[in-house]
Amino acid sequence: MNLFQWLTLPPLAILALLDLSRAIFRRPRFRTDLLVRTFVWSAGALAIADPLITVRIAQKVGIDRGTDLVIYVFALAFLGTTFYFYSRMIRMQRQITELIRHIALREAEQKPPSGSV
Amino acid sequence: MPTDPPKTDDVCIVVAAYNEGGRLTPTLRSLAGQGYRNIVVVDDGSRDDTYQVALAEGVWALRHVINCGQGASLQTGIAFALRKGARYVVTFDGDGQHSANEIGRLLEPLRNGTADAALGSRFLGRTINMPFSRRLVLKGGVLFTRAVSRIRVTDAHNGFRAFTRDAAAKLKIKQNRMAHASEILDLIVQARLRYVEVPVTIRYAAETTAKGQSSWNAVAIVIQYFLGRLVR
Repeated sequence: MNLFQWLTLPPLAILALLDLSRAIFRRPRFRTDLLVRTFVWSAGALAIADPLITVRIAQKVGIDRGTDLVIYVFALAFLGTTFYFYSRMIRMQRQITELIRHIALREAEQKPPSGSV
Repeated sequence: MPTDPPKTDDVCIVVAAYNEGGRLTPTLRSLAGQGYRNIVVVDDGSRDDTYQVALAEGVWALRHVINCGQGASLQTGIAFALRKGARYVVTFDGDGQHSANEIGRLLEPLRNGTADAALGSRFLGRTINMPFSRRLVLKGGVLFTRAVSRIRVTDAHNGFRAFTRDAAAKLKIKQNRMAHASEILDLIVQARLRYVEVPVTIRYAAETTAKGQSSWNAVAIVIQYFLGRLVR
């Protein structure tokens, strides 16, 4: 193992194990997001431990170079993550709007018009 | 034989206003002049005195504590109008672009039961001082709406509309900002509401044109519309 592998593999392994144990043992509900994170840590660790594995997978799916595969996966992950956070932002914006609407409606009920029109 | 004055007490006019302090008074007085008493102004977090102006004119004044967008304001106003028992809800711009004396005509198809929603159309009616670029963008909007929303309208982004109580209750506007106009048409199609277009007059003034959406914003509105549709 080289220095980079010594520095990165133990933390990635710890993260993967932590998330996996949380995903399995945390009650009351099973956490899919933790399982996805476990997969990401494990895939990263595997690619660092054996760099040729990306080459083999790349060739299996019709891409020549392992680096190209990593770039494509990152590009897709970036798009997915961007949309995920955009969706979260929109939902939060809608919740804030509901709150503001609730306040506006309540305030208006307490302040009927003086009737000058 | 004298004709009866148009019935107005079952109508609630919703005016979404953002920084309209200078233009709101004549708009509200023109509505009052036509006999409309149930007027709801939703101040969308204005930085000027819009809210105070609405209060001074003696109308229902609602205030968003922060700016949420015209779509959000209309939904707030419609929710309030329904709470107050309105039989008909009219959406009306606060900047003087619309004519209060055309509300009666807009309401006719709702009152005689031939439609659930009446949509104002400047292209069936007339426009005063409309810039050419605006006409072009609006025509593009019509083509876009016909293709995407599958609704045959001649004016897709006209804020002058009227709904029956039942129709208004079915509108749940989620697009906070300008994409709400397309969303309303989608909701009309989804709820299978009977709609009709009514010719109206839209009056453009230099300051309202400057304040309104720039032609380039049309692109942003399209993006907002599609992304908003993707997020449930």
